[in-house]
Amino acid sequence: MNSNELFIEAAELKDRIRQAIYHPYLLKYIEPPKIDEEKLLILCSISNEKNDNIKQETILSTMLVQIALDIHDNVLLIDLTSNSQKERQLTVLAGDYYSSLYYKRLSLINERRLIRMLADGIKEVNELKTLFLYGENLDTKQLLHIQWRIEGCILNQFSLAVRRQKISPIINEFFLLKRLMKEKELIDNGLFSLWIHLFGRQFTSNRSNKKNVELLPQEIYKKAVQTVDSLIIKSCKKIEAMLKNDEDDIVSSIVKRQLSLFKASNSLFE
Amino acid sequence: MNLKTIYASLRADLSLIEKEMELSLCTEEPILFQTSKQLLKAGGKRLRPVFVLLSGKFGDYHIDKIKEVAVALELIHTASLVHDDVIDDADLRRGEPTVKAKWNNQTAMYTGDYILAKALERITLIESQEAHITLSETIKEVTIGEIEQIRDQFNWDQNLRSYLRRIKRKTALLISVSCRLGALVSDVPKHQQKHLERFGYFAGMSFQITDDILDFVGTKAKLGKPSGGDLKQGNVTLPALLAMSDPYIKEKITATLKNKNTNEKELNEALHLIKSSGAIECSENMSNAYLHKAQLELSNLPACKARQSLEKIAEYIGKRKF
Repeated sequence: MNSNELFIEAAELKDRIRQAIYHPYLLKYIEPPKIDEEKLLILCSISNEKNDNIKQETILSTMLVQIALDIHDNVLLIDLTSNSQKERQLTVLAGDYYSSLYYKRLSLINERRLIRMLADGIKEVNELKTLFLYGENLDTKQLLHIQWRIEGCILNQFSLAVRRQKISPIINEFFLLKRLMKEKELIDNGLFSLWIHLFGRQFTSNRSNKKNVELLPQEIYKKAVQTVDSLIIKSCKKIEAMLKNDEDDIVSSIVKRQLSLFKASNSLFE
Repeated sequence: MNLKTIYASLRADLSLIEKEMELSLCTEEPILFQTSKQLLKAGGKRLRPVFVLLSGKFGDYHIDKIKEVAVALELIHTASLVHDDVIDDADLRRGEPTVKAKWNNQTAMYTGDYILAKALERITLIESQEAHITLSETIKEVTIGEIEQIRDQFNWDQNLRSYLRRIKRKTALLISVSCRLGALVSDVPKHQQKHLERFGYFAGMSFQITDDILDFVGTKAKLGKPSGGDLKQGNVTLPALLAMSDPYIKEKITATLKNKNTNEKELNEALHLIKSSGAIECSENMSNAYLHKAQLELSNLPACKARQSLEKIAEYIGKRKF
């Protein structure tokens, strides 16, 4: 499959995912879930399934898992910002609903092995997220490594299930960069970044209160933002170096394309 | 034969399931380890595993196989409770602080997702596609039921049908599927599987109606949480629904609950109105009618110790006080 065909397939799948996650009452109160197009493209490139229906269902279900996991992250954001009870309730249930759909769709095509592999990924992601939230004395390198694993975990499980091999580290690195860029963009637009608050807690002396997640004082938050800036530059350089050795043309072209978009849109690279 | 005897007859298998659940939730991540341990320690009636095991007794019972279903179903139930506490903003469950109260909502989210993933990991050890289609459809329906419960909160114009559909999804389906899957993995004949499934459904309906009654008449000490919680949260359960067939009571209740900051005195007055309306007795009658249907389903099954045990459990469901 060439990259043009890949983009067409991903676009079709994106529509099907939109239909699958459509629930009028949920979407009345919560933001429509974000569908990560690059993750979708990577899944399409990983799958070697010949049967179109099975290929589409397995990719769609894997994206449902990713969406369910992402949406549950919003609960903390709601607690710290809007504190809206209905939004919180429906955010919890939306994630649970999308999880149930992944299990249902894969059951219907009897993909027991993928159900198990993705469940294993969900387990790992939640362990890592809890570690990110509560881990004591974690430094920048450790926190980034946790995030590196979180970002690639579900893709990796999919790859292990269908190809019996791990994803290339460049994919983890790329999605880590994407996360950093996303948070940076929020800040640049004067919006709130919960992730940077959590990441920046390493610069405070008091992380002993395990129950409450508190927002950072302004000066520490600033330091965290500056750190993220330098990490973005470093991560870009690392990916560029990796691209020179990466043999997977499709993955390389997805990463290269996105990297140039990042660079064009951010003042850090001027 | 009382409930204790039933549990005693399954003691070895239930202990094994308890150990397997503990093993399943073993993690090196310290917070998830603590939250999972707390949830297992808080226990519960372990009704779902009991239904799975007893249903399996009608067929080719192999504990090594059937335990996967029992463990998975109890873990699914546990995961849903952790998330329910976030949804209901509940600080207490079975008299103990909830995960969300002891840590926070986000930790409860990660814990629930982690436990559900472990449940799915376990259940995939079962090969039957039919089992997976059945269970996944149930989980989906349970979630839809919860979404509808949120949608219907503070809607005082509901009808009996919508209440029954809601409790079917909320409770009866998971109990029904416990019976069905226990039977299915033990190769119980198809027609008997159907009776067991329907028994679970009717018993589950009765169980939830009793739960809804107890929320009005139970004490905090017995319930492990304050009574009247459903009404306060705008959840219209059977006693409230029946009481509101009297326009005077309906007007009083809607006026009281219109203000979401209702004080304790006003709430107690509304509770008193419902309790003295005869709605509790009518609800009990309905619960008993479901139990009767459950017993009828059992009468189609071969007479054996497992059937006797299921009969006793159904009786317990009708008489329970917490």
